[in-house]
Amino acid sequence: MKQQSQILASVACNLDQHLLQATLPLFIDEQVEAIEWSFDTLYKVRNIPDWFVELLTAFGKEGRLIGHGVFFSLFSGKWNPEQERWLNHLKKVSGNFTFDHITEHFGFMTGEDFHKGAPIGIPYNASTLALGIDRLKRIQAACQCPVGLENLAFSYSLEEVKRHGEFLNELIEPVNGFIIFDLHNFYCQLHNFSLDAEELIQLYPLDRVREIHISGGSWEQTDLQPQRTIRRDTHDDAVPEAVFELLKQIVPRCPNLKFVVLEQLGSALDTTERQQQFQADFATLKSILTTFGSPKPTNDFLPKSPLLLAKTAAEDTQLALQQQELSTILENALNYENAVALLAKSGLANSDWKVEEWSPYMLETALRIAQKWKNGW
Amino acid sequence: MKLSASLLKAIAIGTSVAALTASCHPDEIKSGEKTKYEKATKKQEEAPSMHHDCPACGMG
Repeated sequence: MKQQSQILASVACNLDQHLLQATLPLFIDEQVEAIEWSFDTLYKVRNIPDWFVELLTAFGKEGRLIGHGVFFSLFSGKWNPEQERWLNHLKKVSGNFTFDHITEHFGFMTGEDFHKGAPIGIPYNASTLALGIDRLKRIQAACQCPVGLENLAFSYSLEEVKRHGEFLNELIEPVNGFIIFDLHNFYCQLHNFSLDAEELIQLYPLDRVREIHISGGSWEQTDLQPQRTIRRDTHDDAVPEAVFELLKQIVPRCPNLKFVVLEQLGSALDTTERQQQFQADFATLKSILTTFGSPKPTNDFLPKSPLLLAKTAAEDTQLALQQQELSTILENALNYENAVALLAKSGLANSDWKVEEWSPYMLETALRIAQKWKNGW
Repeated sequence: MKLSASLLKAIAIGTSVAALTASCHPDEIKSGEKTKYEKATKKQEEAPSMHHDCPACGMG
């Protein structure tokens, strides 16, 4: 296994004016050791400047460019033509740039339009596992480099939270994939389900972590339990101290960790003060990483044998119908009570979705997210 | 990582232009407007031998 000298302090770097303005001083000071690019977000951008291509090329040539997909919708029950196009797009950009690895999100998108929606979880069963493995193999076949999945920020139930790490592990094992451990997502789960960090960490396969994300988010109120706040992974604020503490706690337990990425939306970096806070967060990230020695990776995360792909992509018709029903309910229910009544009459009732066990305040939050995203941000 | 002075200068100039679009927000093209991709595709239909690949967006 190739020895790497350090864990690379990285920035999620997209073609965004404010984000690049915030990152430029870090580039000038040679602080940024790698960049992560959401390669599927430029589908409507009118002009892609040559310098952005040069930036991606420069990091790629040094093995310091990683790709992060946003729109694939790994667990859509129905195989969508947009997913086929997404894979073709990935194959093409993977030919143009050198990615050290490619990642996507767990879950499926709500919303009829493929580009509108929030990633939402799925039932953990043999069918969804097979579906996810098939899709991951297709991603690996398109990019020909290690592939990974990010842990979900949003869950409906405590049981789902506790099983997430194990299910991720089962998904990535056949492609010898890895996990992006998003510590802000993890922080959301800890807060929203009142869990102890150490207890939940032990349920994740940390030897499978090749990348860590840190970011900020926001608090939301819930009408059902006014004394409770819900943590949301909105990427629009500074990194909380608690997330930096998690970083210190988790880095030494991830032997295959290679990249730690600071993520923030450009729309939240629109003032000098916010850009300075972003730079300060990056400095904190970097100072934490310097306290750890060189990693000693034991896994290259490439498939151990050639992957065999079925001619047609896996589909699950029943899952697709349930997802469609869930999306419709989340996007159109009048309120929490109405959503509960609609779910009880739906194909999700008494199924592996376990809707009967969903936390009321999380369902209420899901309604809010879906109805916000229905109209496309 | 060290980037060339010319690239840093290009980023500085590029990010000072307000027209630079946000990447994660699919609302920057007004309804009815044609994107670079659509224009390129149209041009390709007219002259199939022309190559309009964009390395970053992968389209064309």
